[in-house]
Amino acid sequence: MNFAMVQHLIRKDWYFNKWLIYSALTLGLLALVLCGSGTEVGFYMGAVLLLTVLIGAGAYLVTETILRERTDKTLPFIMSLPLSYLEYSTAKIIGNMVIFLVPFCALTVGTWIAIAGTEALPDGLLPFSMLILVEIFTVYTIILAVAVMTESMGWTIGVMVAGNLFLQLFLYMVARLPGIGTHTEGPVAVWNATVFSIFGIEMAVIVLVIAATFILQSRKTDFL
Amino acid sequence: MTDSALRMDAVQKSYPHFQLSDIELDLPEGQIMGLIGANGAGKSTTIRILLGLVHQDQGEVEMLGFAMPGKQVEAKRDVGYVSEDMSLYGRATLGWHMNFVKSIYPAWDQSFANDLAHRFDLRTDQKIRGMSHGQGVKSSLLLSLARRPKLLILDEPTTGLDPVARYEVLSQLMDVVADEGRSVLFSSHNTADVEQISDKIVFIDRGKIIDSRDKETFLDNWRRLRLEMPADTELPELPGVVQQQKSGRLGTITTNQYTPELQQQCRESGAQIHEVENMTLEEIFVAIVMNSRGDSVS
Repeated sequence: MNFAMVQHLIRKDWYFNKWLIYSALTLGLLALVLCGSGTEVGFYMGAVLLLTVLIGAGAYLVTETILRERTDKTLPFIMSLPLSYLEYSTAKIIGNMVIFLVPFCALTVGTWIAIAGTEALPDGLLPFSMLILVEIFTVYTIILAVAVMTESMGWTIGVMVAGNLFLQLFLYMVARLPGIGTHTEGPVAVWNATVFSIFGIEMAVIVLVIAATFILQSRKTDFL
Repeated sequence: MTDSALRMDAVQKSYPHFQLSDIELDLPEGQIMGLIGANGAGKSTTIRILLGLVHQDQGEVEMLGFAMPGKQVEAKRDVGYVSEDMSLYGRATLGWHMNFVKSIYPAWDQSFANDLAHRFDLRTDQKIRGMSHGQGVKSSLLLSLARRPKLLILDEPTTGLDPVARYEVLSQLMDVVADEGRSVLFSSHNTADVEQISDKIVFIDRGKIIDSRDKETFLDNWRRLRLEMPADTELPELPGVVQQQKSGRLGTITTNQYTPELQQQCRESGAQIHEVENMTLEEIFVAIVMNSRGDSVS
C-alpha cells in the first residue's frame, strides 16, 4: 500500500471540499447558539439545523468526492496515476471519514459544551444527543460504503433516503427508551447500560461496514 | 534485441454484448503504434486492459516489462495517458493540476511544462471548466508529457479538436517521436492523424485485430487498379484481391499484394490499365474492414 499516494488523494479531496467544512462549522455553530438560546423554539430550530448540517455535509461530501469522479470523467485521470484500485478505495474511505470528522467532532464537542457548560439545556440531554450524533455518523458510514462499492448515484441516493428515514425512527424510539427518555430533562447525565449498549452497536456497525467495504473492494477487477 | 514497451498475448475480455478476442500487440521501445478502428471496435477496451484499469479474462499483458494488472502501480510511474473521455477537475486551474502531478512524479520537468503551456497557448491560472474542449485536451497532454513518460498512451486525443488544435497536438507528438527512447500508442478512428506519426499500424474491428504491419508495408502493398476490359471478359485473377467491381467494360481491383508485375498480368489478360492508384490509410482500413466482414469480394 502506497500511503504517500493515498495522502495525495486525500489532500486533493480536502482542497476541493474545505469550503464545505468551513460552511458546516459556521452553520453548526449557529445551530448550537440557537439550541442554547433558552427558548423552546430556539432549541428545536437549533437541533434541526444541527442535524441537517451534518446529514447534508455527509451527503454532499460523498457525492462530490466519489460519485462525481465517475460522472465528471475525472476517474480516468486519477487511475492513470501510479496507484491501484485498493489504494484509490482506501483514499476515498479514509479521506471522506477524516474530512467529515472535522465538522462532526467539532460540532459534537460544541454540543457537549452547549449542554454541559450552560444552564439553558439540562445535562440529562447529553447521552441522548451523543447517541443521535453517533447514529448520524453510522448512517454516513453506510452511505459512504454504498457509494464506494456501487459508484451509483441511484443506489447512493436510495440509501441516503433510507438512512434519513431510519434516523427519524431512531430518534423516536431512543427518546422513548426507559433508560434514556426518562432522563433527558434531568439535571444529571445518566450513562447507563442502555446508553452504552446502543453506543456499542453503533460502533460495531461502523467497524463492520468499513471492514466489509475494504474486503469487497479488494476483490474488484474492473475499475472503469 | 529491442525490448517491448508493451505486449499483449492472446488477450480476451468478454462483456454481455461485446467480446475482445485474441488480441496480440507488440510495440518495440522507441516506436509509435497506431491503433485504428471504428467506433465500438475495442480500442478503448484494449487500452484499459493495457493500463490495468480493466482485467483481462485470459492472456498476458506487459507494459514496460511489468505484468499487468498486478504491477500496474510500477508500470504507471513511467506512463502518460490521455483519453478523449478523460476530464480534469473543472474547479481547479491548470496550475493546480501541474502542481498536483508534479508532487507525484519525480521526473516532472517544470521548464518543459512551462514551454508546453506557452506552445499550446494555455494559461496556468485559468480554471479547467473555463477552457474549450481543445484546451482541455492540450492540458491533459501537457500533464502527461511534462513528466517525461517512457510510454505515452493516447486514446483518441484529437477527437473533437479544431484543425489548429489538431496541428498543435500532432506537432508536439512529432517532437516526442523524435526522442527515440520514448514509445507511443496512438488510438484513433482518424486515420490521417495516425498515418502522420505512426511506424506500425494495427487495425481492429469488432473486438479482433484484423491486420497489423508496418505503415510503409501497408502503403507499399495496397493499390487500386482501374482497368478497361474487352467486352464479355472477366477481370483478371490477381493475388491478394480484397475488392473488385465491374461495370460494363470498366473494372476496379483492390489488392493488398501489389507488385509492378501485376500490371503485366493485367495486360496479358487483355485489360487496359487506366490508373494504378496509391491508397490512403483510410481507404486501406475501410477495405480491410469490409473484407473482414465479408462484404467486399463480388
